[in-house]
Amino acid sequence: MLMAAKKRQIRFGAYYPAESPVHSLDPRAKIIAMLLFLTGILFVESYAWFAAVYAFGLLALRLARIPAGKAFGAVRGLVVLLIFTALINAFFTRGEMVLWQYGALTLTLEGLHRSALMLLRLVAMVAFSGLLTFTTTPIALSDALESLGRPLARFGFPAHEFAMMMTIALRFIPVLLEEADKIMKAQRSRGGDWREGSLTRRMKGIIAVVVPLLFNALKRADDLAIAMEARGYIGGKGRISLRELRWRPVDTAVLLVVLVFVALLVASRWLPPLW
Amino acid sequence: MALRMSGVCCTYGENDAWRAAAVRDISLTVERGEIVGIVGHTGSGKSTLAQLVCGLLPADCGEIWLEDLCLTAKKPPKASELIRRAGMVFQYPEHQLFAETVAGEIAYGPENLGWKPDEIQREVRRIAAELGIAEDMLAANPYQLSGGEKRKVALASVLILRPALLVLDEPFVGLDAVARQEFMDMLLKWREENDSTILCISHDIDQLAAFCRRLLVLCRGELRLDMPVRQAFSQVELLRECGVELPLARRAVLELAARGWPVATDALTLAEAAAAIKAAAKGGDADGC
Repeated sequence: MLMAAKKRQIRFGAYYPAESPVHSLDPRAKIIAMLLFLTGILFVESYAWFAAVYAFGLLALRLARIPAGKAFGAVRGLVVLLIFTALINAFFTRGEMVLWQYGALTLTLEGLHRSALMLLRLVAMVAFSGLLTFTTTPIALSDALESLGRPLARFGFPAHEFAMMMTIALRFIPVLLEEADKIMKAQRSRGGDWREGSLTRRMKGIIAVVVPLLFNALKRADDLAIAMEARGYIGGKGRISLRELRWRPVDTAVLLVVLVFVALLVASRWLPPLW
Repeated sequence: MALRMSGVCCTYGENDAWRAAAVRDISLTVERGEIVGIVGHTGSGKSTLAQLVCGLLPADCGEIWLEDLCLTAKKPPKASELIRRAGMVFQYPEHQLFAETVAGEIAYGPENLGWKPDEIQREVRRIAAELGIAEDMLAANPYQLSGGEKRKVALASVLILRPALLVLDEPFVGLDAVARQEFMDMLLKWREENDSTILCISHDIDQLAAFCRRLLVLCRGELRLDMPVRQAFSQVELLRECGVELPLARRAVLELAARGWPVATDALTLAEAAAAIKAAAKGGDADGC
């Protein structure tokens, strides 16, 4: 359908601009805290501790001035995966308390329990990772990754090059989207639409978009490389950053709070169950 | 009537900060065989208008008719119906080439519309001959052609479908003076032979002045001027306001007139300007005697 073309506004990145104490944290602190928090969630095995995780996460979202609905909206994209995971867990966990049986399918109380915990875990991980991506610009993220990776440079890890690659890739995503949109329309104007017709026609329709898109992207990459070299770019050696990352006491404090909370989550496995 | 638009608007983005009106309340009619130029500042809505006309973008309000086909009806028109009536050549059309051979590239449209193989072959050769694409070039890889040749191939890949209305977005950009002239002559000849209508967006005001008979000026999404091209370029104030410059020939005669020369100021092309200046110079001599 030619007219079914959706008017898509090109928007990339999850960054949600707001003035908040979380936004102004050092991105390195946020990355480490997020990694810790996500690891901690993996250790949680009881509903009471999940209540603690959700309380902690919601409090952080509130502090970051991000509407909870926006954070949990990210879960929508994973509904199929979530349902699939829940079903697998529910039906393929062996247990004593059989609730329902049909052929090879057995629904047990243990299975329901496992699948509920798995759902809680996945939803928490997806929703609360927004605490990092909603409050940090892609540029700040890439600066932080470069800074965090620097100690590894001693072992030959190309931290700067890695960050530069990420920055450039992010920078060109909107350009590529726009170009893809244009090529798709140009091919549709010649009757090439991969959303209709036989399989071979659809395949050809995809090729007609991907080939020129790739060709132009490679050409653009080549031009960019030459332009960067012409302006004296030689990689990370001796290079300083325009945007200095500044680690403040509050970053340390936040990290400590998260560390203590995560330690509790990890320890919860061996603590007597609260419920 | 080739095209009729009434009260057409189109807005990008839905209810959020990214919302922006691209075109507002556009109404116009274009008769079969006309060549209409569209000018306007960057972001004035030219490309949006072009895509609306070709059914590549749905309008948010108003009606668009291509001959007897309504693009804004509840039930969207069939692709084959639409493509027969309007074809769009995008800016830098050579960026859309993908096939292994020139012939394959040109045949892509007809294949999509399910033409018969022998018919496709015949038509490919016919359009190649019309646009001056050499027979032996048909087997070449389009990526290895020169810029001007690539553009010709891209144009042929749309023209082979013989759209009644041809929409061109910056067809002359990036071509040298000779190629530009050749390209324009080729388009004019093709239009003549196929009795088709052309809408042409361009920033190349000199080329446009020579190419089209009627001019539309868009300004911040609104249609500000719709006139025969010769009169349109006399609306100096409005054009300046809309960020549209005058053709070189017109600027030259206006400069002379401003310096007190009794020269006619309606020239569009350099040839016309030269004739006007010559006539004025002769008249001046006569006064001197």
